[in-house]
Amino acid sequence: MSLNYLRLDQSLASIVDTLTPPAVKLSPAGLYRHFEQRRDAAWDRLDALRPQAQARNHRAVSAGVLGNMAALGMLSLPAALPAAMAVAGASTAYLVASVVVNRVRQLQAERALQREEAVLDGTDLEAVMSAAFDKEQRGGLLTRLYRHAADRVLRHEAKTVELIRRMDQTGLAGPAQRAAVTQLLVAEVTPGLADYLRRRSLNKHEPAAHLLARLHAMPGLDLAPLRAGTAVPPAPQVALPTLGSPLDRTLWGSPAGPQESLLAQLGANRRAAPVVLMHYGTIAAAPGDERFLASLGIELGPYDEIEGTFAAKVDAQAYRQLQEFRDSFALHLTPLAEGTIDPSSKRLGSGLPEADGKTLDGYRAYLRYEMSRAAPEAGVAAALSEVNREMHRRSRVQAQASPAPTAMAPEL
Amino acid sequence: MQAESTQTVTVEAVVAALAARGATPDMALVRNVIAAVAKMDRIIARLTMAGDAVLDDLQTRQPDLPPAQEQAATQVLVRVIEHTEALMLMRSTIASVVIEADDTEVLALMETGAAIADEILLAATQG
Repeated sequence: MSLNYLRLDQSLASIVDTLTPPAVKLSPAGLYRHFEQRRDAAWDRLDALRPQAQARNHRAVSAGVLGNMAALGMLSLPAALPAAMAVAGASTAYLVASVVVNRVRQLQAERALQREEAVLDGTDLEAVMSAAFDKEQRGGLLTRLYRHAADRVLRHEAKTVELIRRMDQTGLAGPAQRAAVTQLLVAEVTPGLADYLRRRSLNKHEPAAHLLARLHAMPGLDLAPLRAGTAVPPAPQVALPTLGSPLDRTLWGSPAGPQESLLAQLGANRRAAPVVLMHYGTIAAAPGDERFLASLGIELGPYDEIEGTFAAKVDAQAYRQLQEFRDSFALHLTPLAEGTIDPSSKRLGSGLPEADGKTLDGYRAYLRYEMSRAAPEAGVAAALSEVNREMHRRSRVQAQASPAPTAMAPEL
Repeated sequence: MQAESTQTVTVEAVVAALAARGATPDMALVRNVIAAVAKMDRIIARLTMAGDAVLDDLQTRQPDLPPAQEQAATQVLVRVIEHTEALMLMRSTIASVVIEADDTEVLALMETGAAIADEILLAATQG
């Protein structure tokens, strides 16, 4: 079989042109969005017929009974892409299809590599190819397309590489290294990344497998603190290479109990963390990205046309999601522990002189965010002025305490 | 592949969706919904088979596929993805009895999706 795609594309264009009603064809939103708008309009009409609370309940019941398309659809995730990541002038379907075609090319190269390695190792070539075939067939088109597109869009591979790099850079050994790695995983592994690691660790060439190998190299990894916390929904089970070692069982869950998965429990542990950080500052983005950023749960202030930034308040969950897109948006955000500020007076609970430098930075970012809003609450401007004075005072004290710079000897 | 991401729509589920809006269950309407959803499932399955055929062919022919052919293959996949997604969206909407099963645009979408799948699978068979 050898498809002539140019001819096939023309045939399909003709079919679509003939069978698609003019109203759909001419819709500027595109096929998928056209039907999405129709669905939304139909819901609105239904909702208009009943009280608001009942309407909300109706939608929720229907979604619960019949499934929510947002959780099913292939385009639902890329549809939320920021403009910076989208292919200029192309539809989301085009973006997904491009990612898939690239993935097919990559798979071809991987198979060639496996073949060469099998020959060099004297391994049973047929077994290797059979395993590769099984792996590629697992799932099906939508599963393969969607998961891979999601991996690419959410930068899971890049994030895994970054995790390995940071593990290498701890400069620690033994218990200190294990503690640092545990902390790193707690901070960085999102549920999406955990799912990616589970799926992709089968291929030894993938960064996911490299990361696992690194974790295997730390047999004494202390997992006890991570087992604390409430249970989280179990992650989908996938076939795994081995479930032999305690680390394997803890990472991926035993066949009988996926709820034991370390990576799933990391989410619970993060939720149970005593200190919740809010972030305040600015996010550099195009004005059109406002809806996308808001969809991540970020509270946006006004847009600065000159700087090209939104003032932003980002909670812990939104911050984690935002990290997936950090290549697309320049972030200038400062953390501040939740509960640090008295909500009525807008003052630091501990008082300015007692606050450490990080808290002061976070507090100032918070006040600047509040000031950027259309109607800042009373006392915010005065508080910001006090913080600026305190920071200025500290920098003066620091300058006086530092020794005067000595003259550099001229180079010979 | 759709099977694992698409929930089964049962008579009970449709009746529950109707009951949630306070409507009296009309069994003729429920039967129409179930029939439409079943037909959409078949079309979605055909479309995804067609997509798989394209992917299988691409895997066989790359990296020797000319750029123009690859570009056209991407466009073919775009059609598959768009229509699969739109059908899945309408499947859920019809199952919720929000849009009627005999909606003209939805019927046209089903016809187009089926024709696209047939065309690709036919081309794959004939080579």
